[in-house]
Amino acid sequence: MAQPLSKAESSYTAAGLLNSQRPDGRSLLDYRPITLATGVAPTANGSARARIGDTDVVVAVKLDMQRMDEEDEEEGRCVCSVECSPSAFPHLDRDALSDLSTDLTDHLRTYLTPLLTSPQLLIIPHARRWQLAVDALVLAHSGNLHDTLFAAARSALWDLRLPRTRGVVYDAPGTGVGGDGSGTGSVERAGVLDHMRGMGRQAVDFELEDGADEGLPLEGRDDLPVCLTMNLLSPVYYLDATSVEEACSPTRLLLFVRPSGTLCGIQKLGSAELHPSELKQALQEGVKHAKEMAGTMNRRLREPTTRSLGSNLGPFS
Amino acid sequence: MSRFEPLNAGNLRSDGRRPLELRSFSAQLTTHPSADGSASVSHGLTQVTACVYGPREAKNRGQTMHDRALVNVEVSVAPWAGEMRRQRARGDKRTLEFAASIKATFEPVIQTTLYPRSEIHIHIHVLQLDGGLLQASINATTLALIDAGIPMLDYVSSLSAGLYLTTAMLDLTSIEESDLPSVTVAVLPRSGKVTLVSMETRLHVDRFEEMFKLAMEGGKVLRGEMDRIVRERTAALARQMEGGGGTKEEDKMDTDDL
Amino acid sequence: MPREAEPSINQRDFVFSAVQQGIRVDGRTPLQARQIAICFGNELGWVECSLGKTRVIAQVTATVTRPSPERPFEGILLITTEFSPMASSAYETGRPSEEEVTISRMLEKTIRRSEALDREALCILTGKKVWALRLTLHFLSDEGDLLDCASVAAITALRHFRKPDVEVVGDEVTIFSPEERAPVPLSLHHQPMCVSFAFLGPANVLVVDPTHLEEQLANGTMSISLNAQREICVLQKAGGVALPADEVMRAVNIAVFRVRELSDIVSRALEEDSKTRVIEVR
Repeated sequence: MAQPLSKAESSYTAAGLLNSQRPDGRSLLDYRPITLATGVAPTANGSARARIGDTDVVVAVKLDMQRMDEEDEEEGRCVCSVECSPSAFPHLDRDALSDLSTDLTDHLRTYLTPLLTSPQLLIIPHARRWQLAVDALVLAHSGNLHDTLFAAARSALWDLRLPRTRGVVYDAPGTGVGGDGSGTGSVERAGVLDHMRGMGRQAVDFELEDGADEGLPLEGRDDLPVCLTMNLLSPVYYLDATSVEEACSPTRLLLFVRPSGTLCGIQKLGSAELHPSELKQALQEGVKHAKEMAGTMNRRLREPTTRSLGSNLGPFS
Repeated sequence: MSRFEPLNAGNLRSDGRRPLELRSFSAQLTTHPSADGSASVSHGLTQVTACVYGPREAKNRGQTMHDRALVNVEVSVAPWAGEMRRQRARGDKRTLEFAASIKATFEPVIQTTLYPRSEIHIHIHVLQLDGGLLQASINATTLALIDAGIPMLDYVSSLSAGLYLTTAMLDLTSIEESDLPSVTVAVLPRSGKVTLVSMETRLHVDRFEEMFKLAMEGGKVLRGEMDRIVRERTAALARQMEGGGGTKEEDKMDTDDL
Repeated sequence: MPREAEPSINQRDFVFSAVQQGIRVDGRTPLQARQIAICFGNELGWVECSLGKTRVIAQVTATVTRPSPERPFEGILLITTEFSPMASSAYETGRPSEEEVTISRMLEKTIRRSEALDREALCILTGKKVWALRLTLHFLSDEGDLLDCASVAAITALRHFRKPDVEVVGDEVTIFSPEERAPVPLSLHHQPMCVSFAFLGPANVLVVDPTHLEEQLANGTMSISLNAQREICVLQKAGGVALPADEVMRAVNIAVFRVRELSDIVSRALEEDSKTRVIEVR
């Protein structure tokens, strides 16, 4: 994944890191500038672009109406994909690139999408629901891709607005309105004959409500996890590594942490071995940093100016 | 659903433009840090980014040519770009054809003979799609090539045109594209010659010429705009060099450390 | 991918200087096309078309399937192009080259996107049964201008083909074999065909129906699909040499005449064939 690095360069960088010095002058726990912009893709229902340093990821969320089958569970559904642009990884060939995309997609699928099953995504129980499609595009890469990807995905979901819907009951001749409710709105007696879907049987459909506002935000959007990558180079650890720094950390820990501080996932990358005691310490530290980052991000996203086209979220700290 | 009316009684289009009015055009140079040249272009809601790599040693040595550079084009469309979410496979025929026509457009314009046995790789990213995919891609590629400092004979500027009854209109959105006969033209504005013409909808021969010539004229106007952007960018760079690196390139982005 | 050998410099200079003087290597003038020959097979909808040494077979077959849920009233037309190394060593099975993609996309646009075939007429029972037509094009030999040859073959095959007659009573569908009832021809809205051009030499002389050698040497090519009603269906000049607008318009006008000529040839060939064939006995 990383560019080939010469021995001299890697030992130079590692020696600096052990001395708490980084090539760009940051301290070990400093992040590069983070830029978040929401609403970058007008054709999507929610979108965001996150940049950490030169790493640049765009995520867009689209809603699709989906018919539910009998065996489907009564919850929302979410699919995701990550595409890595060849321009972000000029030194990778196609196969390596698609492997990387698959890897990243797996991360999203494991740590983010299971949390997106809110019953809010149901339009009509047992019949229709919104399917969330979270698509990410990695435009540029200079280290710390996971953190950027999750920051973008999270902001895009923050930006998401679900359209308000209202259930409609087709009133077949001779039968009354069942009125067994709808997902998010009130049932209206439309008195429309439904030819296509079997006469006499009562079918339920929905219509979009006209509203001045853009729709409902996703419930629980402030508690979606962030990803924090801890680069361990015993005895120090550092955050937000550039590609070069990534290449000289033998172990990387990905922590997926909710703003409330609970941990939803850990992943260890790299071939080096790790002692449990080191892990424990790293976890404690990592969760602390992640909580702080998530808190800042939420604060930024909550600022009222953010829901305009392509607005930059400004400084982070 | 009500029928789509491309041109209302007041001679205005569905988005409020007059027939010959273009959508807002904007372009940014050097948007990608890792590319040798890059540009991001938007025509209204259509947004395309092009990255240029090279001239460099060809990845596939077998394809190099002894007397000129090889031009490669790759296109990828973001899944959310269009109306519906769609994930395109890499071998998709439409995308391949699209890449082939971009390649054929730029091959004769780039002075490939200056770089024998090397490769120029162009990567096009479609981020947003609201009609005019080809025109945006060609314009973005032109700017990215200029940004990379690759010698070309001229700008290539491209524009689409459509026809509603007898009124020709320029720069179509996707809803207009699906309803009207349309043509995309790419011109070399200095010589006034046309390098790409692409029309996929039925239209009577007699109606074609007007629309075609109008798109060419429009392309020339667009070239002026592109030229202005390139010059402004170069002037800004020159100022920075003289000033001895005062402000950072992206000074408008107010960012801070976490 | 095996790259084809490029023509030698001598060859190039010869072709260019000849065309400058208004003559082509095979003795044609720039605007003269090669002889086109159409022959029919035993089955309806099997057509072999040759343009000089370029040969293409088109075959239409029909089956009954379910329509797609988005378009319950429409039949299905599938166009497949079969390039094999038999046509030219440059073609490889499995991996489509740029040229192949261009040709098959162009055919797709010419015949399918231009709505040449009345797809609603292929509907048997709404939402349940429609005709699915498969138009297969086999490219037998590539001596230049495959596209024109293929488009003529495709249109001829569609006009030649007849689908079995059907009868619908309520939800009951009966398909009659040709012995029981005469099969019915397809309904075509119009008959678009492609005309390709190449621009040769330093003066970019426009030539119609380029040979393979001319295609290799060309500074640029251009393809126009038109129907006999003078409607442009597809116009594709993907890059290549830049031309003044008037040259493009000239090519369009030449294509108009060429398509009319091609339509006549196709109609005549179909007429001849129908004399030798017994489809209907009254």
